[in-house]
Amino acid sequence: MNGFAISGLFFVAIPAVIIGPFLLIKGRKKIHLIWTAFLTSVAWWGFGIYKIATVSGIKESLFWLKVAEIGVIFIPVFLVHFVMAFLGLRRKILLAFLYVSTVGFLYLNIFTNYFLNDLYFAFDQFYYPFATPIYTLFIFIFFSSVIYSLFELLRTYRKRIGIIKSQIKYLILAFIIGFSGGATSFLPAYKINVYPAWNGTIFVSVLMVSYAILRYRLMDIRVVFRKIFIYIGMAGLTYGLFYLVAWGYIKLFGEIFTTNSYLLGIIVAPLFVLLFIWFNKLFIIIANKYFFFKLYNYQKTINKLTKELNYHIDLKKIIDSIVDTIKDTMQLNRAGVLLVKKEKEDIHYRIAKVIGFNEDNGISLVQDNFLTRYLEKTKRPLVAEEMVILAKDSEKPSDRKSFAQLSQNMKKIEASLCLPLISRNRLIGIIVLGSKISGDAYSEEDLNILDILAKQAAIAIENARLYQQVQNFNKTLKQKVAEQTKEIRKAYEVEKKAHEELKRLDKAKDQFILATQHHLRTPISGMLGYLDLLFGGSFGKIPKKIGGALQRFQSATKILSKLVDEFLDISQLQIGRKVVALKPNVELNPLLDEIMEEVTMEAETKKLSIKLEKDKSLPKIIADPEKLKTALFNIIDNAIKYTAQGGVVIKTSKSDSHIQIEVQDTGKGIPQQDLELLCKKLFERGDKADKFYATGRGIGLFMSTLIIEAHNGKIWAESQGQDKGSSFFIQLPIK
Amino acid sequence: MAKKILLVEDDSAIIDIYQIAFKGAGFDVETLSDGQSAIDKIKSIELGEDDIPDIILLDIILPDFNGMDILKEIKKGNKTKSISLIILSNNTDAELKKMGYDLGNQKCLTKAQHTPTQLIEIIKKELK
Repeated sequence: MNGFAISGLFFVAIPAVIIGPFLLIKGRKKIHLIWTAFLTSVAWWGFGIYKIATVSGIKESLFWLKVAEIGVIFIPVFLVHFVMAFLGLRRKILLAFLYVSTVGFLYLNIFTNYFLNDLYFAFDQFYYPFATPIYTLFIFIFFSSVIYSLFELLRTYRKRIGIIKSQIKYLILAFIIGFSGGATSFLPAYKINVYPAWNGTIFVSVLMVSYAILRYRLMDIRVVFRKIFIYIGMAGLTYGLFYLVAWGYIKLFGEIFTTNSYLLGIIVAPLFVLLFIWFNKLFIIIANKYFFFKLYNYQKTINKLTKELNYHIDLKKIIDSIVDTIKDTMQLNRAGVLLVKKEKEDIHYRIAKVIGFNEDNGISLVQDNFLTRYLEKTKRPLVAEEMVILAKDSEKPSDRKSFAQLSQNMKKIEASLCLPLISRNRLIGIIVLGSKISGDAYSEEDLNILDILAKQAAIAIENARLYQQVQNFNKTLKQKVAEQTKEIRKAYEVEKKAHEELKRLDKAKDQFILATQHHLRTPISGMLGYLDLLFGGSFGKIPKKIGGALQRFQSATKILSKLVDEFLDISQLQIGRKVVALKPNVELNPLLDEIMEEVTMEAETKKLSIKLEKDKSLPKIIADPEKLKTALFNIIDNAIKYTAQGGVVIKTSKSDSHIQIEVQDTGKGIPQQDLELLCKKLFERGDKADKFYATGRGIGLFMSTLIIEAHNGKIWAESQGQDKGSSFFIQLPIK
Repeated sequence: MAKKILLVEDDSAIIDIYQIAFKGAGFDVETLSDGQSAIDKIKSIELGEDDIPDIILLDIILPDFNGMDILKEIKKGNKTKSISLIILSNNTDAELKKMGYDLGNQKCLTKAQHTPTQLIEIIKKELK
């Protein structure tokens, strides 16, 4: 088997035969069918080559040449048809002409010798034809078709962007590689001695085109080159090492398939395995450096962005970093970040930052809940162009509609790619990207890198948001504290002012009381003073008649003086000032003795009996002796005043907790309904007030009540009724 | 020689009564009816321009001065601080204390409660 046979069978026929049906399984669209037809004709030709290269007779060779040419004749028309279908062009006349000419060439090839006629024995291996004029015409049409196809592809390539641009690029490359290799098969027909095995390049071409049709994104020429480089490198190493060893062995020992050589193989194998790892790395590094330099930049980008994202905690800066870095590194025309704003069930998006997008259009996308659900579910980048395909492929009509709508929305805002920002299984936002300025599609590598970036970005954004929440919370808290502090201070100021006002009033009140005492007492002092001088003889002897009047004048003035004192005491007690100055160790009995001395005269005048029944073991109490005396005096004095017959008995007794003083009289008594009112304040006595004033018990009794209460004591009266006498009880606490 | 009483009092009736009573009892009486003249008097006593009285009767509520200020002035002076002094007031000493007047150990009498005759007895006791 010579090189021509090998290339025909292994690099043309077999790949084409395998790939053809595979394409049909994957899709039955027009381009799939036409490309399968193209592959069939290529495979046909490949088998033909195999037969030509292996048969020996001239007649047999001519037969197989004619068979092989049937495949070749179909190639130009299928090529043009495929390219037209792929680009969506309608060239009916051109295709019709090509199909007619194809039929013509087929007729001439099968039924006449105008297409192929004379053969010669080429390269000492197989028979090859001389080109006839018709054959030359066919070659002309063949290359015209190829050139026209390339021309149309290039024309479209310049206009389009995205995936279709990438696909066209691969097609152009594939056709140039395939046809430049395949064309060498024509050269020997003109006695140009180029061995026709170069058609092996068709293998590469066929693979590339098929791949471009089947996959819309995975096919990236850089990836292919990188992989090819690594594999060729590795293969070269493997073969090279093997042949080097084999060559050296033969040089030294002459024979290769011996026991020793197998032994050598065992030694070489581990060495190779060791070297393989090292070389594999080396090749990958070289491949990355020269065929995949952008990946390098991407890695730098990831590093840079990661650093920045870790460095910043401010949401705005993080989003700036994301948008700017992605846009600059990928060389994109647009980039932006939208953040999810969830309100109840509805999901809204807020534009955090966009560059190049028309913000007014953005709204139509951002209200799309299908997008949110889809991104949340897949957690993968969403490519706008894929959406068209997803819309067509989806089985559910509702999904079809949604995808179509999504694709329309993305188209409207001119977004090519949506990257979900997922944090804790929840979509927190989207990175929306436009197209690459170069017009290239996003490669798989791009998407992987963007995916990583999006994940980092999501974490950073979530952190920033949490930080912001904490900040806001702190701010609110501070504000609240400040507000409350202010209010407290305000309240305190009010309180302070009120307190000061009270203090001021209190002082004013004291001044007023002092002044009142002074002004009321001064004239009385004068009156009593003059009376004293008169009686003392300072103004000469007093006539008897005048003397009596002056005496009454003096006692009236004394009563007035006493009333004024009482009035002043009451007014002080009423406004809360304790007139009583409590002292410890006060004995009650001596006080009562003093009172007895003072009232005995009055009682005797009225012919009343008065009796003090003392409990001689009374304990000492805490009291203001002067005031307590006044209080008791008032009550006893009252009892004498309102008793016409009989007398007054004063009894003291004690219990565990208090001393009791009872003042019992045989006077006019107190009606039941008045008893309760008796000790109440003057102004609370209502319509009885007049009566109390009239009977004179008013001020004195009330004064006594106030003083007893100031001693924490109790005072009450009991009476059997009118004219049945009454008893006043006073209790004072012992401690 | 008759003992000399310095009376600081603004009420004309009281002045009249005390002058009659004190003169009747054989005292010399000098009356000052406002705070300022009392202060001036204390100063001139201090300077030796005036004689030192045997006793001062001081009213607390005066039209222009607080009697307490006069009391302080008296207690400041070297010559005046040892003069016998009775505060005469229409308020009781307890009342005065409650109003915030610090009278110290000063004897305080309420005018309405003491007749001129009683007062003279007290003065006589004081000057013994």
